[in-house]
Amino acid sequence: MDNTRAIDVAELRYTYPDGKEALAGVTFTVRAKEKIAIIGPNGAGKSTLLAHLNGVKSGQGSVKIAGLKMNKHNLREIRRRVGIVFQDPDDQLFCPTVFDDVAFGPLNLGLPAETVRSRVDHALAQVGMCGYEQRAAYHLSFGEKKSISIATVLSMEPDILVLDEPTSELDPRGRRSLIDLLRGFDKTIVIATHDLDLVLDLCSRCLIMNEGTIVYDGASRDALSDAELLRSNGLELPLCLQGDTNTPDQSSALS
Amino acid sequence: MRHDFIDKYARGDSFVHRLDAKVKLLGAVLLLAGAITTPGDDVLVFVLLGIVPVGVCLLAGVPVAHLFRKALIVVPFLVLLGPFLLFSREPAPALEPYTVLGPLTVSHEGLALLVEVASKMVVTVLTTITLVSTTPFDGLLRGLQSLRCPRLITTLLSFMYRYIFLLVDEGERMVVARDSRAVRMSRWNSIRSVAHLAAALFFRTFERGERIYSAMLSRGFTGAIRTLDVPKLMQADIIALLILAGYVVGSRWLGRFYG
Repeated sequence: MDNTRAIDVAELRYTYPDGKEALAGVTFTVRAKEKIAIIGPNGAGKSTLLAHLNGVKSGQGSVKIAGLKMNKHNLREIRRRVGIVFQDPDDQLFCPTVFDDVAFGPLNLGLPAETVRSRVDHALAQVGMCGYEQRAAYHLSFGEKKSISIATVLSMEPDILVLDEPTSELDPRGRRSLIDLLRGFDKTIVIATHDLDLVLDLCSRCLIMNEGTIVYDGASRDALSDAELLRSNGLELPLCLQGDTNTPDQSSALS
Repeated sequence: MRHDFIDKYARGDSFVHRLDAKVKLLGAVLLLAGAITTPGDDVLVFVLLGIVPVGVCLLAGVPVAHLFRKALIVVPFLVLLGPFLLFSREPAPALEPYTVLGPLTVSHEGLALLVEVASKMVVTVLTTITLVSTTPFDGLLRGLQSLRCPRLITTLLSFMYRYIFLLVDEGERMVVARDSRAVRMSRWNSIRSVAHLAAALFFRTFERGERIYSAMLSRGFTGAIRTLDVPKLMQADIIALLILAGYVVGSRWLGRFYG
C-alpha cells in the first residue's frame, strides 16, 4: 500500500437522477500533506467531486483514501479521515450550541466523554474560537460560523481537509484569517473555489474542471498566468496578476 | 436580521440558571399541575402560585418587565374567549343574574368561569416564560431527554429551533426581493406571488434539509443522535424541587382552608 497517496480517484463517473452527467471520468491523485485547489466554472462538477471523497455521493469508478477503497466496510474510517466543510455554515452547524456541533463528529466515532470534551476544546482553540461553546449558531457572525464549521471537522482529527468555497461571502479580514489558518495546517487540503488569489496564495497545485472532466492538472502558477487556458474554462486571471495585462489595454482604450 | 427571542435571558448566571434543567422542567410541570387542578374560585391559590414565577425571575435577575411584556400574549386570547365565557352559563335559579345586556345575561357562573380561565392562563404563561428565560433551549432539550422524552421528539425540536429563524429570514429576504420589483401589483397578483413565495420557500427548505443531511453523514452520522452523559442532580437541585413541591401543596391546602 502506498501511504504517501492521500487521495486516489480513477475514472470516476456520476450522473444526476435527471440524467445530467456531473462527472465524466475523473482521474487524479493527491499526495499526503499536499494542498490542492479545484477550480472551474459553476456546474463544472467541483462540489459533486468533493462529495465523493467521503462517500456522501457514490458514482462509478474508484475512490481510494490513503489506500482504503471506498466501500461500505471502509466508509466509517474514511469519514473519519476525510473532513468536508460545506459551503454554507448554516448547513454545517445544525445543533443547538457550538459545543454540540463540534462534538457531533467525535460522538459519532463513539469516543468516551472525556476525549470528546478535549477534542472540542482543541478544535475550537485551533480556529481561535475558545469560549464560544455555549453560543447558538444563529447568533454568530458569518466569519465565526465559518471558523466553527472548520472546527466541527477538525474535532474528528481528519488527515484530509476538504473545503467547498471556503472564502465565499467572507469579508476581506475574515478571508485573510481563514487563509492563514489553512496555511498552518499540516494536513492534506483540497479546496474547491472561485477565489483564484487564494489558490495562488495557498495551493501549489491546481486542477481545472470543466463539464465534469479535469482539463488541467499541474502547477497553480502556470495555470493561473495562462489567460487563454483560464478564459476557455470560464475563469479569468487572478486579480493580483491582472495588473500587467490590464495596463496596456487601458492605455490603448484611453488613447 | 434580528428577532425578538423569547429566551433572551436564558444564558444568565444565577442560582436559578445553574439549577438542573430537569429540575426546572419538573418544577414548571408541578406549578402547572397545581394551577390547572385548582378550583376556579380559589383566587388566593392562583395568586400564591403566580408569585412563584415572578419571584424566580427576580432571583434569576430576569427583568420582571420582560416577564409581563411576554405574558401579554394571553390578552388576545382572553379578548376572543371572554365574551363566550361570560355568556356561556345559565344563571342558577336561586341567584340573581349578575347583569343583563339586552337578550344576554351575565351570570355569576359565567363570570367565575372567565376568572378561572384567565387565572389559569396567566399562571401557565408566566411559568412557561420563566422556564425559557432561565434555561437555554439546549438545556431544556437535555432535560426532556433525561426525563425519557423520545429522542425523535427532542431531535425534531432541536432542528426546529435551529432553523426556524433562518427560515423566517429567508422568507423576509424573498418578500423584500418581491416588493422591490412589484411596483403596482394588483391584489390578485399579490396573492399569487405569496403562493409562489411559499412554494419557493418549501423547495429551499427541502434542499437545505438534504444539505444538512450530507453534512451529518460526513461527520459519521449513522442514524442515532448521540449525546454526552447528562450531569447528575446536585443537592441544591433536589432541595429546590422539594421546596417548590411543598409550596404548591401548601398553597392548595391554604386555598382549601380559606376557600
